[in-house]
Amino acid sequence: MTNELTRPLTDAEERLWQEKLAALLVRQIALYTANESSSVPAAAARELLRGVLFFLAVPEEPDGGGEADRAARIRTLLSCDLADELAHGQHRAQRDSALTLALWRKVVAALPPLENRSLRDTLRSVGRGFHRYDTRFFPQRFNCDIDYQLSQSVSESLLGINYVNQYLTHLAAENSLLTRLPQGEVRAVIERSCPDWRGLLVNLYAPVAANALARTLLGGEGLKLSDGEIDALRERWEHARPERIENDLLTAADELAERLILPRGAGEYLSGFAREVAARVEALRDCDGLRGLFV
Amino acid sequence: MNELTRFGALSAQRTEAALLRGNAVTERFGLTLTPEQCGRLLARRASALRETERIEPGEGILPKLAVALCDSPCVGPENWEEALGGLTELFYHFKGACGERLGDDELLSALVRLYNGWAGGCADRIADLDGRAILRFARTGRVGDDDE
Repeated sequence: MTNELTRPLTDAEERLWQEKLAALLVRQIALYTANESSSVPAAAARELLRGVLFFLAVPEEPDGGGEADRAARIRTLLSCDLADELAHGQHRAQRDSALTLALWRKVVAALPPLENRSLRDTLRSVGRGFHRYDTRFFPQRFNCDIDYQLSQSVSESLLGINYVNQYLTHLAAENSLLTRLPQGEVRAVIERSCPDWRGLLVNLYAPVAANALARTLLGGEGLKLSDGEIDALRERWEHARPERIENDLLTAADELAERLILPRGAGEYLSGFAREVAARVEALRDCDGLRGLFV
Repeated sequence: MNELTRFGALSAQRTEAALLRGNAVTERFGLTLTPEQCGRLLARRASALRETERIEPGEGILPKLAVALCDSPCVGPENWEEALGGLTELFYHFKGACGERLGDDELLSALVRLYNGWAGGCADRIADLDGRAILRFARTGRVGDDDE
């Protein structure tokens, strides 16, 4: 639903926005080239402009949906001094970079004792990325290689330090669970899920969290599930409505989070994961696919 | 990035205004630009920027070039527009060909000196040079083995 702030920009507003943005880009190009050049290669101009939009917190032109947010943000900026707003944005990027570096250090310090190469390489690469992070011109780029995939991916609409921060936040949530469970059992589940888990690009959280949710539902000890227990789950959900499956798993997530005393963010992450598991259970229950989902 | 393509129109307006203001300087040498000539020069500029894949969101180099070139012994009212258009195209070409190593003022000065001297008012002769030659000329005043 549109309102005064979110309705599409008028032609006059669009023109004013273009003028103010162009003036800011001229300024950034001058700074970037140390006042040596009034023109830059198009690729550099695109990245400088993306940097400006990042600092001003204007979403990049959306393909669909999101236009309302963009219009609202631009409309708010039209009455502002964009150079001031850009400076605020640069300070914000610097602050967020410092906060994210602190988060990275915490994640590294609290890693579960699982020797997965892609996880360690990813964290090492992210750590190096902070040295090169440019909060003057290109805040939308954080140069690092993220090979380790999370069970819940980070939105691609997030850029630069925002993406890295969200990635590390999700990773911290995953590791929170992994470190609170008996390590021998965690390894056993991961081993059953993927024997070459040390070398391959596999997510360690998903098989462990799925089994932990199932164990919470079924009761009993240990993380590994027997074939009989997986069959019991299949029978439980065979004819259940999707809402029942989701409710079962969300209830299990809440219980597990409370039992393990997970931080709130990790608890919310686990609930999000439970919803995904519920969707996969619904899709797989008819073809005996639960044996791949739970191990 | 739709904004970048829209900046061209804004930039053209500002550049045209600056060129017409610049007539106050260049007319002392009998050189002025009409609005129609400005329009044609801006079109050449836009085309040159597209071909060299460059973006220039502000007034850009044209007004500066007009002031730098207006006292040239090689220009007159009959070739004023062509001289500006040709050197503008060369300017954007050599910005890239010189690996972005020459600032605007350096490159502009080099091109004007070449045009007035070694090239004898023939922009095509300058177009035959490569980026290294322009860099060398900008730094040493020499074109190849010839003195400038």
